[in-house]
Amino acid sequence: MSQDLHAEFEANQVIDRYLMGKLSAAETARFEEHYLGCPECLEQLKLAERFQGAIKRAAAEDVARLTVSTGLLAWLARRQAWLPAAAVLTLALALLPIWWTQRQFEEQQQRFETQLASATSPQGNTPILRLGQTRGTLDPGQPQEPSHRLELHPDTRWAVLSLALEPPIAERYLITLERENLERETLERETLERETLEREAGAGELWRATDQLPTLSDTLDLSLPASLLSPGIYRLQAKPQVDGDAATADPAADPASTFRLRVVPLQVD
Amino acid sequence: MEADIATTLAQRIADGDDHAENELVDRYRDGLRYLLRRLTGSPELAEDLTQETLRIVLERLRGRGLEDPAGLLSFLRATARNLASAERRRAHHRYTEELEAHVDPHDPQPSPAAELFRAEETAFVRKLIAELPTARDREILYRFYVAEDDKAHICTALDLSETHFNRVLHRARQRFKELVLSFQKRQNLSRAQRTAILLLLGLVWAGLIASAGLANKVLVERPL
Repeated sequence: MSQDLHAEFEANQVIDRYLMGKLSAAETARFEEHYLGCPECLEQLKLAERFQGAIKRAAAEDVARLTVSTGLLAWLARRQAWLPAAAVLTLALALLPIWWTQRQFEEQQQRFETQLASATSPQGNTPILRLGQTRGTLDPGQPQEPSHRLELHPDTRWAVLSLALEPPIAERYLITLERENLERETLERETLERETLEREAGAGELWRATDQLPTLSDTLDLSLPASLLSPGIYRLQAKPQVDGDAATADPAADPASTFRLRVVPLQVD
Repeated sequence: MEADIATTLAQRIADGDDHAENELVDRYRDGLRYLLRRLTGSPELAEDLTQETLRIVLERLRGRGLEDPAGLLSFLRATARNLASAERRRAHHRYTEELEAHVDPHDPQPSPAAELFRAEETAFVRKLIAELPTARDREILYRFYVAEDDKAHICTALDLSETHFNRVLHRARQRFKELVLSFQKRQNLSRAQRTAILLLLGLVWAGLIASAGLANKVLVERPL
């Protein structure tokens, strides 16, 4: 009888349907009362429960995986129209640093060429001033008005000063430029370019030039940056230079020749 | 036949036969435990309720007995279900109180070992499904176990005979059983290997200690 019952359970999937809750109340009662005392059915029941659980888990995992992949594909499909744009944007972002560096280089090169052209081109408004040597001793307490005036236009970049030397004429000269009646600290604040030039020159000097050769007409012709010459009184000193030492004057030689000038802004009408 | 055994057991217990009580416990304990686990969802609670069910049934059999001793199985089942229902009501009340008190209800997580077995069983199912000869057989399993479609409906839809349907299900379960048993065998084997290694290490350790003790004794007792 037991074998018949088991065959009936097998044929009707009683165990599976019991686990699924698909048996009627009477069938459930009958089956439960049976397996309470039937180790064979109990074992089948436990195995079937694990089998159902496993097959449902596998299906759930597959569905979850399919959902994710389908969702991803759908997302990509929805954005298919944007893919070329996204690719172009990505490429553009990748090339941006290269373009920026190239642009910076070109700008720098252009700026350099402009400066070079400007420096080498003839200056139409360059003032030329011939300076005679200043006589007598200068009193710092009572400054005298220089006899030379240099008018500088704001656009002027260079000024040519021709210092008229008096005999005896040395072979070479050390020229220094100083400014009178102005505190040095104020000078240092004026422009960065001036500070740089000061550092290159000696202490207290605005500008210095060595190995300056006199011309045949016994003059020392100097080209000074106009940026050095803000309005005020300036003193140029020309000292004979010792051979072999380009930076110092000859103490045994004649005293320095002094040239003074006042720089004033050119009034433009 | 099972009804006859149950009737006999009930009568013997009523007559004061202690062995019959033990037989009853041995015979129905596992089935009751399974039924109660299904009803409660908790192995621990099922164990407690199994003991309680058996206690109630035995006391009843020892006392006034059953009006129809052949109804022992029905009585066992009814007692188990009543206890499970009572416990469910209590659990519901407790759960509501815990919710009102903002206390998280106890939610036991499966152990790592249980998780491992479940993962293995899922892999076995994938394996046996892959081994099925036709896509139609795979569809049968899917429809019956996952979609929980009716047998008659599946047979009609797939143009199957009932015999073929039963055979596919039976073979799938059998294959699953083989894979599970094979896995359990490997597990038991590896457990036995681990035990053997531990035993061997213990023996080596004991031998080392004994050797050290012996050497110490020889050195201490050596005449100067």
